[in-house]
Amino acid sequence: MSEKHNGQGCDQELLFELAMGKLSQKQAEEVSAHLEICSECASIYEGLTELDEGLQDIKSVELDSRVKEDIWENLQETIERSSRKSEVKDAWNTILHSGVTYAAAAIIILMVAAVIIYNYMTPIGYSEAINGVEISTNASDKDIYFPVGAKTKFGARTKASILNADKDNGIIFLAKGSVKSKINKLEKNQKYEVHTEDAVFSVKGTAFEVTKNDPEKSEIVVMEGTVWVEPKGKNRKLMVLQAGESATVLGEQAYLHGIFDAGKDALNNSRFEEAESQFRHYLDSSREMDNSEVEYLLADTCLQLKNKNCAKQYFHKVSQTENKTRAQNAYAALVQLYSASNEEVMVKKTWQKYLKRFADGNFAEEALFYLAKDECNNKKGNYYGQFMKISKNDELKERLKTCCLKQGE
Amino acid sequence: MDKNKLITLGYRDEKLILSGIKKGRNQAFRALYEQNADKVFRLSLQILKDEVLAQNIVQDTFMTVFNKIHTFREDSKISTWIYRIAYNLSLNELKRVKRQQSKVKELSLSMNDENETGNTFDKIYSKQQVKLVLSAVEKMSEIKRNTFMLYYVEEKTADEIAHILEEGRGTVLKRLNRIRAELIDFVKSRNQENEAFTMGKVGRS
Repeated sequence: MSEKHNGQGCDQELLFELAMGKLSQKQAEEVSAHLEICSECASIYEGLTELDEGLQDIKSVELDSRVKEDIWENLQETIERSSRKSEVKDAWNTILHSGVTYAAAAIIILMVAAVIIYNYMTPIGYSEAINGVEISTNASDKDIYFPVGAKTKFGARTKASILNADKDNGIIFLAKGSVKSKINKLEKNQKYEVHTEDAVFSVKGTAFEVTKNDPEKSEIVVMEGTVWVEPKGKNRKLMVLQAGESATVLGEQAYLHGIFDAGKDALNNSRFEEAESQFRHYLDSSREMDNSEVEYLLADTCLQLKNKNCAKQYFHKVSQTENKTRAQNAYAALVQLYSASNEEVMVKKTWQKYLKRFADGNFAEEALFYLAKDECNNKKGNYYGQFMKISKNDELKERLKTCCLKQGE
Repeated sequence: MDKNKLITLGYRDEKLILSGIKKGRNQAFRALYEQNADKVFRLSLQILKDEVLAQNIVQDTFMTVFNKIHTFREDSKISTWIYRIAYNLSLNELKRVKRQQSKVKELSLSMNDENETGNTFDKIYSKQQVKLVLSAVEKMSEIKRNTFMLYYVEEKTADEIAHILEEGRGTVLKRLNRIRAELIDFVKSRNQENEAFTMGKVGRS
């Protein structure tokens, strides 16, 4: 660093690094010596050391030890659950790799070969699919076999057309009604698709049903395997559905509902661990902007599992939703949780946040009563006045007055 | 000695931790958690400015670490890899929060977002000196803020930051130079303001 006394031409970045403790001892000594004779650099250095003091405070920020322990316990639970799943998988692998199974495997291969040959023939009771044919059913179903290996049931009152039916392709356009399909595993060059006005449903070895009874939307239920759902439109997003899942395609969006229903069913029947897993699975795969309904149910499930941290986490998320009723309920639930663990500061903050958003909300009276009691020392306080103004509950008003009088004494 | 520190005493070295986790040893994972949870929390708190959301990121980060440990290529320190996961998760969460907030604003609900998230953040960062740092770094772009925090708070090297932010080392070094210059300008203008204020006071008296 050149030694000028007015700061001109000095390398001020070195001052920065000195203040932040990033210089070697030798460099630090040199720069410090320069500070003795350069008032401009000394004044900048002084300012920078204030920054560094602030940084030291930021460095000392840590997770609250109780929260840290809670997070660790949650991690443990999730890890244990996933370990149990992999143990089951390992057990299966052991069975599959044992010598005894080789003979059985040979028999299975023969049986599969027979099934494949059988499937390339049109099964009894099925008509063969023909390119360009229009399907129109009345009161009864119609069974059609596609050479690609798909047994297709066109439901009653269905209108559809077969766009392609050869050994590599099975493509149906469904205008109205339902198409239920059971497909053998397809080869790479083969495809089987059901098109509607809203989406394309394509499969890789599966059983599924597409329904089109509403001009605005299409429904799909997957019984086996995997189905790819591709809504039509510029902003479409591909959704992959697994067995047991179902979805609605509305506009450019596919909405998953199979897991949600399964989760709700598990929750209603007190299978809380299963409910938690279903709701988490739903949230992982959801592309919706607002998942607050599921998040609320997950928070409720966490409460049942006595996992307070998880309940707080999801009620907190829900409290930010645009759905006013749900958000208000989430705030109230958070207050209860914080009260139960004697976190009075958090109770207060939660009610304050609640009032900022829902000054006339369902729990406004309760929130104001709590906050007014909290600031009882000052009767002219904001919350005291507000409570007295909005509350029609004379008993509560009296209680607040008495409480504040006592505090005043 | 702290109980948690005692549990993880055998795992001081990153390589030991990594091999322990791969062998399914819970204590190794605990050691990794103990050594990095606070750092992850600080990083996500800087980005999200919300204590609860930052706590969620800690949990999500370590869950991801556990699930993806077999994909860790060991081309960086494991702590750098964890930072990278936490950084990406925090940015995603920030996007989600912003999206949600803009939707709420669209609907003209009377929700003051800055105050909503600011409360928990302020609780931790209320000291005068810390406010000074924040007022200086708040003027920077998001990427500069994150680079600054990683280098000067978390004391990561330029190489490690490049790995976390998925960009070149040269880019990081250039950005650090610009950050220093901006902060020096900040201090200079603050000094000038103080000087003007003192002169004014003297003039009046």
